[in-house]
Amino acid sequence: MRVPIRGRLGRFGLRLRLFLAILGPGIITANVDNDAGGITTYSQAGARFGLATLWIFVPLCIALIVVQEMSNRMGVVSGKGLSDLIRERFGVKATFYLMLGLLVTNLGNILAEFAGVAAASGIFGIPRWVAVPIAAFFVWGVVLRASYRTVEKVFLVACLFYVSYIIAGFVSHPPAGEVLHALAVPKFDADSAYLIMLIALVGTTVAPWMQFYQQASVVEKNIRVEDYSLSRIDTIVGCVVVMIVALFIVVVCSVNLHGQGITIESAGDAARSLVPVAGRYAAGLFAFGLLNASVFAASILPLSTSYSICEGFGWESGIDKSFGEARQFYVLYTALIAIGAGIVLFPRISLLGVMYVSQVVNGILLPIVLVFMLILINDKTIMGEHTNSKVYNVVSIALCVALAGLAAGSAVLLLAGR
Amino acid sequence: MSRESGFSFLYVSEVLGRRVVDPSGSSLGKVDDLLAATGEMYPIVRGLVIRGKEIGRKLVPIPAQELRGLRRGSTLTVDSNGLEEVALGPHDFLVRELLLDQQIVDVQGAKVERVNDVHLLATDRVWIVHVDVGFTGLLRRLGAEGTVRRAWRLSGRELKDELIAWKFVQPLVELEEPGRPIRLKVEHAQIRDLHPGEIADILEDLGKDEQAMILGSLGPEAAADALEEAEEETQAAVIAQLEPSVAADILEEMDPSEAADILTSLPEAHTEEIIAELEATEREQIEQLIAYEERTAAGLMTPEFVSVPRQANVARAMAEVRRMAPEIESIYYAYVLEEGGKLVGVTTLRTLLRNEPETEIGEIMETRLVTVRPETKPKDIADIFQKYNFLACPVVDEEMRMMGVILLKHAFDELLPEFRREARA
Repeated sequence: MRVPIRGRLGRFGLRLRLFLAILGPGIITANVDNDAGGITTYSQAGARFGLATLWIFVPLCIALIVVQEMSNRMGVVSGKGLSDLIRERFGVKATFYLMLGLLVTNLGNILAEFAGVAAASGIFGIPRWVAVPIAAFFVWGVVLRASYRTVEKVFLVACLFYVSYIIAGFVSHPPAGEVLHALAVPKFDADSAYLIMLIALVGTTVAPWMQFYQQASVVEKNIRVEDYSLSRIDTIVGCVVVMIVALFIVVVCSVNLHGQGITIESAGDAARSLVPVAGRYAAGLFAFGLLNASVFAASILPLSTSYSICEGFGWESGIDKSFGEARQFYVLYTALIAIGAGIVLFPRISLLGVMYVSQVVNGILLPIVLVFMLILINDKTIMGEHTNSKVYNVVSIALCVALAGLAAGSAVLLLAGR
Repeated sequence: MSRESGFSFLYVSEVLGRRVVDPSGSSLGKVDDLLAATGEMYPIVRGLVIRGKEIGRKLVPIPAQELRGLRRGSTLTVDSNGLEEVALGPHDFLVRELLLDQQIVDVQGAKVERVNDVHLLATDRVWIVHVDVGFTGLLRRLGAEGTVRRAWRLSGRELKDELIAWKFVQPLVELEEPGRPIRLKVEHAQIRDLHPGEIADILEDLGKDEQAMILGSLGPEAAADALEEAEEETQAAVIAQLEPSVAADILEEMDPSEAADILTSLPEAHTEEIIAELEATEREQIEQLIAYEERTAAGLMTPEFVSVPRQANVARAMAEVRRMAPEIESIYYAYVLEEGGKLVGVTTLRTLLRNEPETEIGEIMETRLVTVRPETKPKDIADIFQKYNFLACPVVDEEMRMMGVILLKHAFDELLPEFRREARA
């Protein structure tokens, strides 16, 4: 009984199978990027400025791909997480402050996710004191009980639900010609509100947790260096898809809400405002997308944060370890969820205040992480022959400087009280 | 501690960054690293690497006396004539570069740890005695040890140090020549002496270079033992990263059914590459096992077992057991086959031992056979193991020809859910 392994699939078939096995980290990371905070920002951009901000999505998409590709490559080549590498290269002090920053900004994001759960379920008539605890226990339990492979499959399915935004987009009959024009032709406007919006779009799209998370999950997946080209496709596909979804969110809000004098504070506002103009169907899709995105991101952010921090300090981590073995990991993970969900349940604590601090720290953190990444990826002892090429270095440094400048700029703007 | 006392303990973090002056008191620079040499039981710290504006990066002999009397904020005085270029001999290493913030294997605890600090003993010479992997080490590096210790004491508790004695420390990083295959430079703690299961756990916590380094230093046989103990995901992960030829060498040393399990959990293209590198006999066995559907008797069985012809006597059967013993992991039964491989009986090793050498197998064998077919599902296999308390169960085809055996110990993990279900029922 010989095995017909050879020849059962053609060369292409084999590649496809291999790609399906490798796919995951890039697509998942990118999709989590469209979390409650992201959806809020994209909705605001569409409602307030119509299609005027669309042009930034093309350069933004390229920047996102470059940054994520680098952390992906570091994970595949070294088999180590980003905080591992930072600790080994830059020492304990740099790691400590970086992790502290990551903790603060991620806690803010987690909070935003649970707020997103509350808003989305509210639209479906479920009160927050029911929805938020259920979401918190779901997130906490599912991730702790399941293996990485299972969790990844659940997450990949969650990615599919983002299609609801694209459907919502088509349902609202966007003016295709105008959209394409707005995408291709940059619009500069000295209006400070418009500039702040552009910076917010950049800040919400390229966030520090993404580099840590993608690198960690690539490591966990044990992708071989020989298969790197496929892993890179995973990253590129993820980033492109996620920008398309973001684009549709802007388009939906632009078509339905722009010029109506509606101000949007949260993604929940956007969904509610859509009901009278776009109909229950589109609004429902929008709210469902928000719920999915919030739960999805709330599952990943606490986990990613705990991993990064424990790695950096050399504490045992991982959902395959017992509580006794990885105490810091479990305490941190549980606390992040409990605090995130808890604050949302007690509306007297100002959400905006926490979000504000989180965004400022986010803006400070990203430039530092990008500089560290550029140093690490050009380190031959870590990357061997897989360091950046000269051309790639020029492009990535230019993009990172631009991103870092915008991120730092947004932190300054926020600190200056806008 | 005073200058007069014979010895004192100190940490590398207290030395790094400290200002170094020449005897006239003018500053040379700051301590950048420490150079140590292996060879004795504990590495001896031979020199300080100093970095200064004027001198650049230079090495001076270690001022042991000065270190013994080290105080907070004090400077180190060295002889500026002793400055030389930093050059590492074959047994030398830089403490900060090799150890600080890096991962090591704690051979005693069989764990991967990250080094927060390095503990030194200063007598007339300076020795590395421990590495600090604990919370206090972390606090010390952040300059907060004293404060947190005092705060802790207020709550009536004491912060505990976590030090690992040097003899249990296996460093992992080899920085000298990047891009070259890594070799164990400071090999004194034997990872090889660890339990294979512990090695497996360690492998899982390491980066790719370190995994390859440890597997390389173990050799295929010990590497196979370690992998057999590992969780299925770790097995596949580690094998997936190795060169196909290296992976094949290791898989050949493993039980074929385990090797087949690992290969089936890899992406198909990898499986193919590795199978191409296997020796012909192993390749055939493994390919066959892969062909069988997983999660049936065929997927759980191993094709290695002791068989004797019906006409044989006990002496011949014992000889057969002895001949096969090195090849087969566990032997509990000898299977009696007719010509053509048809299974007609089974005998336990105990029965063989209890009977005279001349006794014919046919007389003492058990002929009421419990067998499974290749397509039998785990639930039914679990039933059989539970009902009859077998340690192994033969797998036969439709004409009772023996194909292999399922060992309880191999099948146990797979069957555990079934056992549980029945225990509950």
